[in-house]
Amino acid sequence: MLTRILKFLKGYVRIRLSGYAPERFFNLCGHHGIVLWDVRYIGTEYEMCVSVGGLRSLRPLVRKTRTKVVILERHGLPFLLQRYRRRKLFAAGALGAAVLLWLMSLFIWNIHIEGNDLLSDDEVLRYLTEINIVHGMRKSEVQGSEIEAALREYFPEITWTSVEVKGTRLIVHVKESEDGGMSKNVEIAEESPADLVATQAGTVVSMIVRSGTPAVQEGDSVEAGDVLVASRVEVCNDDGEVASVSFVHADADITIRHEERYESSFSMQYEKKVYTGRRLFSFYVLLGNCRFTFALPGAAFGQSDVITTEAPLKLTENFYLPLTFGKNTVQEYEIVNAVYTEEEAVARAGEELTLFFEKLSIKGLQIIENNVKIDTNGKLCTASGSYVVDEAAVREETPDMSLPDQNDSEEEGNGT
Amino acid sequence: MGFRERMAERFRLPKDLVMGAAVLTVTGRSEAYVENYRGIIEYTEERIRLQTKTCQMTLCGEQLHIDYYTEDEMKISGRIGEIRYC
Repeated sequence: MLTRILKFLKGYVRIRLSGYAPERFFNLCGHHGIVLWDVRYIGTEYEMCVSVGGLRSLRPLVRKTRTKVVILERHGLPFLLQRYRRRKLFAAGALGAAVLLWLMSLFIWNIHIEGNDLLSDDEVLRYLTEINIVHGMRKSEVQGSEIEAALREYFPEITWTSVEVKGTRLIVHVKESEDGGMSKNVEIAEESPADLVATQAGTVVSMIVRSGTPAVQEGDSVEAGDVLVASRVEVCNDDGEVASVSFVHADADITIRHEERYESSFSMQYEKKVYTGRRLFSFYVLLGNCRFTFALPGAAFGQSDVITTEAPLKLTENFYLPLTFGKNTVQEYEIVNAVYTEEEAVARAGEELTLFFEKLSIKGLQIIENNVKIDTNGKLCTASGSYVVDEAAVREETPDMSLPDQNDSEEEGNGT
Repeated sequence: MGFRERMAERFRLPKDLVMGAAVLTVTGRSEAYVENYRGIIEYTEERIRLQTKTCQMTLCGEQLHIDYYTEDEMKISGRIGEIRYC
């Protein structure tokens, strides 16, 4: 392989040798240190390869041996360069393209946010713009840890972020807390005492207590606000009297089963979009932050949808260039009053119900019973009924550590 | 036995150095390396005749090619049928 590269760099030619004393020619070549390779005997002539340097010193040998040398093929870099020596602009262009590519690779051309369900891309991007993380910024100005900290501080929903620069892309990985930070669950520090309190009325179906004193049992009915696991732990002496009281951070897995009602109805009449089939196209080019639109002439539509497709110019998956081609398709539609058939209405109500249950499952609720009935009466489609769910409906609450209680126990402790 | 050969025997010196003997390395019947030769006397597809210091060496066969050729080493490939010294 190495010899092949060397041969290519130095260049070589394939020559045809004919004449009176070819063997003598070979011997002379040997004595003059000219390397011949791939020597073939074809008919009455010889073909062989010789380096460019060797070719120059062949001339006296050819005269001496009264042979004739014809060059058949030229190989290697020196010949390539010679062939393209007049194409200086071509070389300059290639160099220019390489430099341009390198310059372009110094900037962030695409910010991608991954893992966000609750937050929209726009919200995150808007905030990133506020802290000067924008498309077209220098890659070297990206401070991953600072962006991560700022994001976590600004969006309470975000529990974890990671900022990654890949090619010319800035990828922001985000993990949101499952309840989206909407939970009223007040987090109490791990070391301070806390009670566990029901947030829902229902029946306790399972209870695994890790720390604290259970206040209810499996099968008990509880109301919202009832204490389920108390933080107060009493230590009794041999007589069954309370020796000392301590407060712990209660910790337990508790499932409360409760029944809920589901009510939903919609009119059988609805407005339906009917596309007229008339369309308008417009094209645009985004160059950095500048937008150039090319619209085809056409009448404006009364009601219309716009579908936008964008194709960012990128070299590899992560090498985005600041050039985006886009196409807008405007579709005209008319609104027509329509009526659901019974099957359609039932299907739609069923879909809504399934979606509702799916949302509950995502929140961690387990659906145990479903008694929702779907009815249609010509004008309205109604879905109503009850369903039973299992839910870990507990929250932490700072316990009432009233002093008299503690004093009592201390007195009792002192008395014994 | 000549003086040089006796010396080479006695002092265990390589004979190609002391006597200028040709070294022929044949791999199977398709490749042959020749070192320490003087020159080519004849080269056709069926026969390659080489001059060494003491004698001539003839390789007969079919489709004989010289893969490379320098002053003191050459590689021959093809179907070698016969190697003869004279």
